[in-house]
Amino acid sequence: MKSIVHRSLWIFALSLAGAYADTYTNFIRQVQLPSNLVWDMTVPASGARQSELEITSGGARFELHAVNSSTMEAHVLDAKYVGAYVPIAQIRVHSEDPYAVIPRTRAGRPFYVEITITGLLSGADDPVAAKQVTFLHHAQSYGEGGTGVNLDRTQATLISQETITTNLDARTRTYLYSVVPSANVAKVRGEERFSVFTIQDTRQDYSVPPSQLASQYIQIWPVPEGTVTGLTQNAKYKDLIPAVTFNVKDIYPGSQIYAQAYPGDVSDNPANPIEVGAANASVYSIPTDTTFTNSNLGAHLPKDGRWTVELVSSSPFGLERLDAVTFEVDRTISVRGMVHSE
Amino acid sequence: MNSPADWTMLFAGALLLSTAQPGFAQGEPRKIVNMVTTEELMKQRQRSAQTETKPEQEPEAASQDPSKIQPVRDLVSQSDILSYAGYTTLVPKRSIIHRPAGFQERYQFEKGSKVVNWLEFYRANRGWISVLEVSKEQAEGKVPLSEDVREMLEKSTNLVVAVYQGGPISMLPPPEAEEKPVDP
Repeated sequence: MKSIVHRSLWIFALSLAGAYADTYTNFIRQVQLPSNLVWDMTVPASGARQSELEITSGGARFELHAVNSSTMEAHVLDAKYVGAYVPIAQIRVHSEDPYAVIPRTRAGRPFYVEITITGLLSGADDPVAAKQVTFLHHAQSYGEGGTGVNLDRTQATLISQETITTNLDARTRTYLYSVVPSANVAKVRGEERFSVFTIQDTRQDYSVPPSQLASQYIQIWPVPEGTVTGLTQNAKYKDLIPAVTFNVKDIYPGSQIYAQAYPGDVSDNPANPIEVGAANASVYSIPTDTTFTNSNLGAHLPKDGRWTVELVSSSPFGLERLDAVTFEVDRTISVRGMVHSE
Repeated sequence: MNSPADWTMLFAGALLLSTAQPGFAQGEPRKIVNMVTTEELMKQRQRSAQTETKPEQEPEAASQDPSKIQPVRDLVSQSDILSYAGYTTLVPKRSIIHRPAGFQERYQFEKGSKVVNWLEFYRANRGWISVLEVSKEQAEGKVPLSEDVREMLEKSTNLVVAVYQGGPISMLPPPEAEEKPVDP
């Protein structure tokens, strides 16, 4: 005989914020398992309310969907399975980048996955599905130049799955590098997803397939590359210093790109560098490319001598040199003449 | 799992926070390092692979992906569409329990229309849409709709959507009667 779960379930609906708020409509759908009875909760764009549809012993899956208001393109934002004997799981992925919208990092940088699991039972008479969960790790490439838009996440590659039988209190795992497939380890574009699923729950009167308890992904973006062109390494410029062009590819989202000059050879800690150019503010969500030029570099260099011009990326990973050129400036006018008198 | 908080789900929507990014700051020397190269990353990865701590439990054979057994499908494929006068909404399949003739063109996305939630759409289309509030047991197919209601549905010139607490709900067919052994 099925027992009914009378506990309350509060649903918090948060709209896709910011730029998305005006163009997406949210739907919260409750799917009762194993019957597959489907109920759409009526929700405002944001706020909280209690689910009116009681959850039966098989549990229920709550799905948050966002539908583009003009194209009807639908996205599954989140899904969670809730039930009487179902453990509760939380996953938090973080990196050196404090960006709050989607966890993200750069190829070659570490990231951290914090797993919390409560409610796992261990009694001899407890259902098997209440005693263990499965931790899944998926990776998926966005492809060359891809940004993850319209990504079919069912095509992600399963990297590993582990059975967890004990409750975990914010257990953190460190991932030193991304395993998103890429021909060039520096040019990774993709995401890694970490999920906790229930196991198949088969009992006398029903069977519920593995269902998602928690899931979080982190985006991995490529290492930027840049060049300084127009100047020649170790060249000596006597009067006109040529225009210098700065090219940058795969700017890390939200980072700043600028060029600076300082006397002497390349230095890791130059004193009083002079800014000689900067890229427009980069996009906050995806990598971009840019080019900017300084046609009057000489006006920025107050004295003659040996100078370095370098292209710098400022990001959560620190200040990093993309390219540098060192050259000589010699603008002294020397007149060699001879006075002759008879 | 006794407190309501145990059942709390937080569907985390996007929260746009602009993060202050460090940039060029004259007079504040900060260490600059060379951007990592592909070769350096390759070596780093090889070193990491040698020293990496193995997870507490060995990964199991990835022969069957639990996330693909019953994935959450996109909303559109699991819904019926109602579209009229520049607005469109989605309701669960099987929640439209009466479809009068003549509304066929309203069951598909009207190009250029705006997708809105059920309540907004219903408020604007009460002239041709009615709702029937049903019980959970009726939606599960365990309790049939009364004869009066079925007659009313047959006569209705409005499209009728089954709702539970105001939200569209699918109407499941009655559970199949258990097969009884046939007497010889």
